[in-house]
Amino acid sequence: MEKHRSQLLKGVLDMCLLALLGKEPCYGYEMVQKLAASGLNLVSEGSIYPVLSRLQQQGLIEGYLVPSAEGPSRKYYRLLPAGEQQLALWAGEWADFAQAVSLLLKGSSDDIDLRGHDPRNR
Amino acid sequence: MTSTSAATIREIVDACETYWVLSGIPRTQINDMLLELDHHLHAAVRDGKPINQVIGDDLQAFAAAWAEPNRVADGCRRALLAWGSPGLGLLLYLVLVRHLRERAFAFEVGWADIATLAILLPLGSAALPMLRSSAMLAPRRSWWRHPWLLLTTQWLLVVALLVAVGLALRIFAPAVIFVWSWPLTLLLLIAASITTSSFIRDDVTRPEVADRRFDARLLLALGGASLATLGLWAALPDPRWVLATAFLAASCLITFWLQLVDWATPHKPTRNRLLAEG
Repeated sequence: MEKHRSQLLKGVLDMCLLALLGKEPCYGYEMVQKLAASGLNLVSEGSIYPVLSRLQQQGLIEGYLVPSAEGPSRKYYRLLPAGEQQLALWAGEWADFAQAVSLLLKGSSDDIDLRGHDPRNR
Repeated sequence: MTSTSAATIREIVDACETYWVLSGIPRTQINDMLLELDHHLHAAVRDGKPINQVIGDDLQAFAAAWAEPNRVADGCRRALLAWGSPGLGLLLYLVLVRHLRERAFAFEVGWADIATLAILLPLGSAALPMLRSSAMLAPRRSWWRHPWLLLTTQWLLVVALLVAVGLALRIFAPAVIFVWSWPLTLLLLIAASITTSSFIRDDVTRPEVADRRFDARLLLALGGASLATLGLWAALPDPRWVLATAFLAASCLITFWLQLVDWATPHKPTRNRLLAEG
């Protein structure tokens, strides 16, 4: 169950990271903690970094170093205007997609109920 | 945090650094990636998470996945230098071995020598992916997959192949193709130095700041080792020893030459340094 959930998250990880950065700039470990707090646990936490690198290459986010009192500097990421536009686009696509999947799932659960009422099943 | 966890983190970070350097990721990028990885691993261990939860079960797959979006596309010039520099370096090494082995300023080149090059050059192109995977020194690796054991076995197989082909060609195709004389060696040295210097200067993985004092000490040590092995070669003219001492002296001389070229090649100002200098 947990593994399947993590696989689902992998497909939308870029969008989730953009959404987190849309709220405030974060560093890598902070993003993992925020995802976990929302119930989205990753099997491999380090998998966010290739995604962050890709988003940075696409000009959607940017990274910058902030000196830390606890030790060496931390790399924070923030959303760029292109990233805001992309997030809005993806959010719209996600709403349509999620609705379609919900309808499909609702349909199949209705089918299951119907099969339960089918006299041939008795 | 226990000392074992700190040592494991250090080991993982070092292995990833080696992998990324061998993958040709720019040095500024590698520094940022190492900083993030080190911080994430320490924070995860502090929170009681196993290290596998950060990197997964396969360290090499993790390092490769992160390297992929950060890879710099090789241009024509870089691809040419990436082949030309090791190729000319290898040729220079083999020529030096021949000069030393035959104790002569000129030597005959036959089909066996051409075959040696034809075997070594493609094998050299396979060396980088091999080194990349051997950089993964994860402790969970089984003993028979230890990188040094693998490298030694592969090296022994290459030597065996070279000896077999060399002997066969010397028997069946003993004809001399041409005579290689010392001016050619000089020209080769100049060409290899220029190509290697350009390759080093263009190398995006090269550290931004050089430790000149350490480099100078290393140069002196390698120069000393080269003189010592040349002395050994001169002192042991017995044919039973000449091949071994020729290989040893040529290896030291080539390493000294490489360090000298690196030392003499100025560092290219990178993005970070340009920003720091305002």
